[in-house]
Amino acid sequence: MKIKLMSLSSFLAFLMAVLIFGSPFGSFAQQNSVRAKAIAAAERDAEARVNKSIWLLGACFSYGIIPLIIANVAEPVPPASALIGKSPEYVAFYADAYKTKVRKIRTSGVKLGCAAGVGCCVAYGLFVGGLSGILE
Amino acid sequence: MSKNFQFSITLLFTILFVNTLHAVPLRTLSLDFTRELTENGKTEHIAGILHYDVKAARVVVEVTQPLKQIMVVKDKTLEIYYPIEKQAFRFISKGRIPLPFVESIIQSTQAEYGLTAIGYSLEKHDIVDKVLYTYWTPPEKAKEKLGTVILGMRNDRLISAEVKNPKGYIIAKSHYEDHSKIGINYIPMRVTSSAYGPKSEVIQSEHILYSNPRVNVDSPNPLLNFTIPESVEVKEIKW
Repeated sequence: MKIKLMSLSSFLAFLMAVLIFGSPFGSFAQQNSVRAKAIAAAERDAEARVNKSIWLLGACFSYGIIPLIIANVAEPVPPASALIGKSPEYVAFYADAYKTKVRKIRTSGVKLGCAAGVGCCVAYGLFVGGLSGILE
Repeated sequence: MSKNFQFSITLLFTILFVNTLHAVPLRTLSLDFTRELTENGKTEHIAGILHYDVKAARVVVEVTQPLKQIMVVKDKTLEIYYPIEKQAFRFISKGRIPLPFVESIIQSTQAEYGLTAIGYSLEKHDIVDKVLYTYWTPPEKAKEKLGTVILGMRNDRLISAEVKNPKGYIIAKSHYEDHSKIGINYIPMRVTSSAYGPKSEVIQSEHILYSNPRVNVDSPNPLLNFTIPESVEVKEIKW
């Protein structure tokens, strides 16, 4: 009986510990899920707008299909409708992730452009150098 | 004879009066809305009220479900306010931010739904079961990403829109139903849209229901002039 009481009290202690320490972990997990969703949506929207890919223009139907096409043809802007009904935490994560992704895409585009430019200059230099060598 | 004349005059006045009422230009519009967005097997429900000030080109979206949120969109600024959490965001964009929901309403009032304005040209038309289908070719700069746009119209009302990719596969499709005459235009009260993946699978679908339209209401609508309270700290983001 004593053993049973001991195990019961240790069980209750364990249960209390789970209840006390478990709830912050639960809200932490929930916040992580919001963060993950916001980042995924922001990266998809940034990719769609910068690369003008209509395949990725998710969560923007509220504009209707035709305005969606118009937005795709015109200068891309961040979507307001992607933030309708979302929590402040989601909006904050989304904004940060969107800005980061756009900067990343544009930087990689600039780097590619620079690399192509340098490549062209080197090729031109080699061609001119080779040509002057032949002429001499 | 005189009775017939009186009746004719009354009828004429009634017709003229009704027409004048319908022809009144839109100044303000408020609509209740519900939006269901399904993606990856999960459906998100949002409900609220949409307020639109035509002259100011300002939209206020008052979300009531699943949380309380007020979104104000005007020109290049998007403001989001949470009345319960007392938090606020201000996004400043380089270009004009499309007005949520209202953009499709504005387009429905424009000639060819704004397609010619962005360089689309009419390729051909077809009539099937009293529905006029018009086929639109994209401008040169969009030809790499977009194919034909097909609009379906019945009784001067847009009932469907379909966008294809350059290979002819459908990218997105919308159906417009339950048109209501607002001002001089027919506005769809039910809009169902689907987006398709590269293998023609539905990747996202959206169902919007509008109800209780209030047009040019004389009593001032405080939400149309909503501003974030000064006591609330606003997080400003430029993007």
